[in-house]
Amino acid sequence: MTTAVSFLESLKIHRVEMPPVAAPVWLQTLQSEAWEKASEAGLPTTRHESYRYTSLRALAGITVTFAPPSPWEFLSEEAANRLRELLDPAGLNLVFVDGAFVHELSGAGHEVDQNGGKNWSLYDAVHIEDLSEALRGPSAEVVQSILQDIDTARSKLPTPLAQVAPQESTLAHLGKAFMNDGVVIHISENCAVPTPIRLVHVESGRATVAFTQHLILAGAASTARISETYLSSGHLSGTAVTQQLPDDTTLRTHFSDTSIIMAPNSTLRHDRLLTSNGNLHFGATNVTLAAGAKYHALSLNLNSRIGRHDITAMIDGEGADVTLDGLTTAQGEQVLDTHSSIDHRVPNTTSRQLYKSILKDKSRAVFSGKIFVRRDAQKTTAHQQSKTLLLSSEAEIDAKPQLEIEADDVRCAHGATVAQLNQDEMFYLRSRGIPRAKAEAMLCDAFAAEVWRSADDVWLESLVKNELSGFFK
Amino acid sequence: MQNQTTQKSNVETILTVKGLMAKVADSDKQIIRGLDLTVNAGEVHAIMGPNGSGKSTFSKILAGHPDYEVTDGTVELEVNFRQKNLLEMLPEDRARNGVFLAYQYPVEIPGVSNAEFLRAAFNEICKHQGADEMDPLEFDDFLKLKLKFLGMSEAFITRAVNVDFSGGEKKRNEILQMAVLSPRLAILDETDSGLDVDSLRVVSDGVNKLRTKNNAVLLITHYQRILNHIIPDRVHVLYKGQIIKSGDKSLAIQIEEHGYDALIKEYQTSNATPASGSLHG
Repeated sequence: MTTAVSFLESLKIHRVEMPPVAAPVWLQTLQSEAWEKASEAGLPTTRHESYRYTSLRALAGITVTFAPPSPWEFLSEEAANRLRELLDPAGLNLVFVDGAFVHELSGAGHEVDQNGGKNWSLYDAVHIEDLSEALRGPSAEVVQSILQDIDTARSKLPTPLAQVAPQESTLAHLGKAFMNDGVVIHISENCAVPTPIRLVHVESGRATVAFTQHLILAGAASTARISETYLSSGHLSGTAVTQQLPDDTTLRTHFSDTSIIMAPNSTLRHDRLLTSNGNLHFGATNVTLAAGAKYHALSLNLNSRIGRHDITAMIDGEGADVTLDGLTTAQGEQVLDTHSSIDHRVPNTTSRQLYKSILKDKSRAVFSGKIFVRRDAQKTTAHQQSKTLLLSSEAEIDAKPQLEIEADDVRCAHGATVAQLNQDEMFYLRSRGIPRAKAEAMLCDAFAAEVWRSADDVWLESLVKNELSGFFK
Repeated sequence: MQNQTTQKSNVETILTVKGLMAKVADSDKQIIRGLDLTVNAGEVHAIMGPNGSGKSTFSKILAGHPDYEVTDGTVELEVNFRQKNLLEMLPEDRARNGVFLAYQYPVEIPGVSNAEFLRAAFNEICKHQGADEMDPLEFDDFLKLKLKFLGMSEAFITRAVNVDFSGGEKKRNEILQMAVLSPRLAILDETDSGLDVDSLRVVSDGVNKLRTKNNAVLLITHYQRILNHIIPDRVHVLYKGQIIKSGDKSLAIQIEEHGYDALIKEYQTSNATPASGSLHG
């Protein structure tokens, strides 16, 4: 090989070489159309508005390797044991290694009916199916309709919110073109899922490109808690979180999309933790809400070389309520990028957002928060707040609130603050014998805790605390 | 409690300030202009003075506040029977060696619970003294004993440090910290200002209970009122960054009756060199 093949070209080779699988016609069409759109448009650059602060140049040098069919077998015994220990004993765990679903590790003990090792159901409250099976089996129609509903909902996003240049949709199209791994979660009507559903993604440490697509249907008047965690290989080896950036040749890349359809009066708590240290992560969450649905999301973006999360909430029913909270920590030359969009389309809906960032060294974070209140969406209440703590003069936050309000009877507010550690608080702690570094850590911890404590989830908290204690050290 | 502080024998000197000069950092504004003071173990010294005399600045300098810069003079603290240069120490090291400042305006720290804060501070001091650190449960018991000793509510433990505390509660919280950290030298910076009668009694009783023959208290105050509750061994009047008069508790009563003006006039007419805490009285 004399010249480097571009990321897209190298994906194309893989596409051609992918073994033919029996796929329904609609899926073949959907995937080839998505691929055409992506390859025609090419990757976005910093000239495109939604990627203005986030250069994808790191992607260009990646030689694409997909995980082999059973990545689980490549984990060392120690890593596998560590992974087992990491799972929530009280949760319904769905485990993915390098993006591929690992049935052997998934489940929730004896309470789960395992149908042939591929499907899970818990007290009939929730049914879970491997996406790669669902795409080709009897559930294909369900999958197709969820994808179509999300697509239709997204197509109604107003121009200022939609990603305007075709390049800005390239990553989403790539996700569809390579869609295979993931799960379909169907929460039954009028049911409360008694245990948290844990989508646990771990990296084996090998350089791979992974695409994940999760689809969630929250049935009418259902209640559930779903946590999505993306953990770096450091979590498996048990070693401390590494701070340095790995060579480009060992970069892992993960594209992940979670699409959620919430039926009337459903309630979903959705926490998303990214700690993919030194790697590239492009995540998206799309959620549509029917009347009375309540969606509460917490997005924890802790340490990635590039970690992006696009979260789009489309409110289509009256009385629906959205809470999006987020915490970003970045160090070194990491770039962490959060783009939230909330589209209030109907009257009497509410949304609130609290996003906090703590930035060290030469790191950079973006918070772009868009709120759209349509002409018909009277009596909308929307609050957005972003707060940033800069621990270094070379760190940078690009906070970009964007409110487009067409209705006249609304309550909307937004605010953005950027500050350094409060020196009075620092001196107060130090004057009680607490050394500078520890005082800094205490104040940062308190700043961050306001966001993550709202999860009220002991399992998630221990992961977050572990990650933050490495960061504040 | 001894009344005489001048004898040299058998008395441990905790703090020795000589010819201290200090200004606001990054400015030419001189605030302390040649201050001398000696505080011995077991003593309570009151530093009184009109507004702007440099009282609070002096207390902050002793705690190592970065807003002020010492330009001349020395401050020594007795640490394990040796005089150590206090000015060379970081604020945290001063605290670990027994200096405690009760703030005039205690700082609110959202998100940090009082228990977590106190335990962190307590354990730092334990570590410094080579003692075992306490785990949260042990410390909780210890803290409850201190609260009981001071007659304070257990609600103090779980609340965030000083957040949404009333003025009186903030000052009581300072005394709680003092009780937990048991300092060698406690500096109370206008702890009486803004206190209602009940809080003043709680705070004063707390300080009195914490007095021993091994520690000392430096009481910075504008009014004589708190000195009815905490009886000082020595009273010093600070004016324009110098101690212009020192005496026993009767000096505070004299100030209450005649104000600072008479003392300042007397000082100006005599044009005397600044008096030092250990020589006059």
